[in-house]
Amino acid sequence: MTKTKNNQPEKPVFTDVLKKSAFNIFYVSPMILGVLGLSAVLLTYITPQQVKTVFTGNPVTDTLYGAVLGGIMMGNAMISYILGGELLKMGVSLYAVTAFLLAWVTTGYVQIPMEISFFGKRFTVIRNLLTLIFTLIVSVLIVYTYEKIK
Amino acid sequence: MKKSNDKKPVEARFQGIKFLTFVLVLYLILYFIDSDKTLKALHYFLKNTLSVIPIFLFVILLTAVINYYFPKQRIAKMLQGKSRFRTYTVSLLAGLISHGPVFVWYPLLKNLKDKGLTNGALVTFLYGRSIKLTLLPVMIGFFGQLYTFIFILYIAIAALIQGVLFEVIYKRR
Repeated sequence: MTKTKNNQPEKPVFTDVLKKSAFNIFYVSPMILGVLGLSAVLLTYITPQQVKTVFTGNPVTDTLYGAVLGGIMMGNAMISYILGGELLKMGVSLYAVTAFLLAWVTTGYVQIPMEISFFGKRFTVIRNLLTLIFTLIVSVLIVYTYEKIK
Repeated sequence: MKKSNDKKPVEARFQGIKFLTFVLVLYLILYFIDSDKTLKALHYFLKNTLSVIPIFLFVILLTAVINYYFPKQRIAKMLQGKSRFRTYTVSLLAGLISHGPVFVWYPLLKNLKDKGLTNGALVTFLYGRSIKLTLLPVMIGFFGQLYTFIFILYIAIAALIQGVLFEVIYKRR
């Protein structure tokens, strides 16, 4: 509990903040371990050929599929990095993985009702549509730039 | 008698217990189907887990530093800029250093909006939040420095453009 002095909240001690950060990661550790465990199974049991039947390497369809997959999934962004890294190892194109990572962090369909209640329907609809369009465009630009510089 | 969220039982604070149990059961079932492949998967899992531990330690430290120097109230103060250019830039920076789930920010952002924060700046803040500053070490670990740098740069530019574009679209009827 934060102590007060003259009704002013005291600045927290750094070690307390550090402890809180450590616990925050610790509390999501079952989820992280689960994702690492599941991706290890998928990587061992699913062959790259099987994955390539969905992600064919076509930049347009791969970006679309990646964005849809990332958009419907939710949770801590670090989970998306782990999954994205594993998808790359399976031979999925960087277009799909980039769209997947970007959609995971930018689109939050689950939070839409809450966003509407705070900022209104018009604001939420326009913002989320723009976000979806930007996700597709930015994903392609990221990979294009990366491939050029690499 | 007062009840606090901090008094929640420890096991209730963990996320993904059911999911982890499911994965453990899956390993057990798969072991009986193909023990060689499952052991290979287990070995891969252990190798991956060990490699991400140092990254997570760094993430903990980075999160603590940001939370310590930029509490919510300080970020709110930053968002109330004067010039339009400054407001957009500061909104982006505030989005970068903001932490926690987005819905936690909604009441505060609504409050700032009522006090004059533009819709465009709000949109820039929300898009800028997709850059997870504290998780950069994890991203670099998986995708490399160059890719991470390009990824962040484009999101930052997109956040600013989206804010301006939103303002234009929103004003039209």
